[in-house]
Amino acid sequence: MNVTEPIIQAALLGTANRECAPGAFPESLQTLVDGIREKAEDTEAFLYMTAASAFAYRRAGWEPAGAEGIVPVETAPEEELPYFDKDRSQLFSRLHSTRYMLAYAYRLAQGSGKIISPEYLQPLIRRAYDRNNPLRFEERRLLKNLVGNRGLWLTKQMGLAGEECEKTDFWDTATHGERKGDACQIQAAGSCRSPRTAAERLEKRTG
Amino acid sequence: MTLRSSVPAQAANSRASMGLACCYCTPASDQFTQAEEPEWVTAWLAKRTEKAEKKEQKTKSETPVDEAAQTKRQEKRHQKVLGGISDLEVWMKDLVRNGFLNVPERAYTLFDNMARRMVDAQAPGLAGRLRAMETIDFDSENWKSDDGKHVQAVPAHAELQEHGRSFRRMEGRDTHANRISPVQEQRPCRRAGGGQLARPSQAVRKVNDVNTDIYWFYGKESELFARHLSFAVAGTFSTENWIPGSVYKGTLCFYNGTGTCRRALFRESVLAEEGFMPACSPDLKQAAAVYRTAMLTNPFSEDVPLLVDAVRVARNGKNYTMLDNAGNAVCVAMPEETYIDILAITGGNLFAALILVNGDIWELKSIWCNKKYHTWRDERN
Repeated sequence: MNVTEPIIQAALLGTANRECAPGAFPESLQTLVDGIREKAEDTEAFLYMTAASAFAYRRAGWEPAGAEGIVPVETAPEEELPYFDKDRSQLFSRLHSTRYMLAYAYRLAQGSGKIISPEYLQPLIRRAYDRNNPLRFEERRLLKNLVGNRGLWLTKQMGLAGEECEKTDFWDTATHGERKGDACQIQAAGSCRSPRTAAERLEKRTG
Repeated sequence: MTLRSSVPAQAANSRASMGLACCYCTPASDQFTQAEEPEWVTAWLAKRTEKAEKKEQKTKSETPVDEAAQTKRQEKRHQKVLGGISDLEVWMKDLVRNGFLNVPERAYTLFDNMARRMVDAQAPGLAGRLRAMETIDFDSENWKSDDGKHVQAVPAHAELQEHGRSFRRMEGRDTHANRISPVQEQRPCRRAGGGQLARPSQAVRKVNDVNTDIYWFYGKESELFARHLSFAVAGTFSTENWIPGSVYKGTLCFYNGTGTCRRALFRESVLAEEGFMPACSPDLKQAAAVYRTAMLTNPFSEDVPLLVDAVRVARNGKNYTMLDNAGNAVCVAMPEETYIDILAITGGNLFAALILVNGDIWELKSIWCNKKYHTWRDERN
């Protein structure tokens, strides 16, 4: 039985617009509400006192819900490589705000046969997949060897897996003039009357 | 030994004196000769002693407390608070008469003005509660729904009204000196026994450029929680810095009050080197039973701390859910970053957690994975 819904409805609509008559409470609470009704000086005071009692009643009998329909996360695969010690793992975290040093640190750590502790991975993964990071493709490639199985699993959980890093986007590396020219070509292709001609122009652009 | 240099600036003067002191300790000390104290040194020392004596005398001969004036002041303040509560009640009745549906678009000015009135009425507790209502996310659908998630606005108002009423009901039952309610601040008065305490959580709240650090301690022997508040002005470091997840040997002085997590002050504390894992409820059902007991003790308890073992987190639409092995689930409030951090640390395996329950909101504060403690950064940590 939902004891609070009628009270919420009455409070949302206002006592001036809707008659406040919360009912259908359990017997123990109903006795209390009846007592409040007799004591309350006006409708608003009655509503507030009833709300305080009903919410306290609900909290005092609170039970957790069932887990039906909720899919638990699959566990991460076991690691094959050992972790760097805490200081070294922290070092990557500290270099997170630098532009070139992090990629340099990744390169240095490539042949060490160790991986970064999982608690430091989140900001590093986010940075490697940040569209505003010009070094993201390189960082992604280098980080792949340093995150271990759990890091790859975590990337999947973060919804970032599947973003390929093999191909460099022309737009990322082009100069202002080149971007402008590219945008003009797209515009010209869009204004073509014949779809075939437009397709040919776009193909020529990407080729 | 007195050292004096002829350098005029104060800082440079100190450095010069330090240099002379170093010279005195080196083989070059034979350049120094013993002599009588110069007159300026004697005068300075005499003046200093005189000042210290005067200060001591002043402390001893403090005027006795005028109890009549004190009672009058307290009575005046009490009347001020009652006046503020009357205004608040009228304002709240107007609000519910017109309905809460139009509250979101004028939430900022609505609550802020009344909070200012409460500050004038010397009821800072009520002002704080009104300001907390400002932070309710009125853009989300949850604020007005009752689907087991975040019903916030209605109970918050009802509790505010009840606090006002309870303050009125106190009249005539107790002396002013012993009156303690959420409307006014609390005072320390009871001392608890010593014991080992683990610091499982910390949160930071910022009000009027004063940072309030909230520390949660767990008694190893008493198995009770204590909440400690530490205040620091913005730009300064707090004098109390406890390390999260560490164990301290110390004595606590508790404030009066009912509930499981009373505010406390430290009498003494020493950092112990041992590790400690607190006793946790085995599943969410047992944790809910602890919560219910806390609610039965004090129906208006806030921030009830719960320790629960063998849980894991899962995404449930836009929200996050905590699951146990017995098939129970609870909606927990945490940012996306915390959820990902938990997955990174636990790898999707079971862990123990400290949760703060406030009404319908379960907030995950810290976890123990393989008996290792983890917590999350806040604006100061």
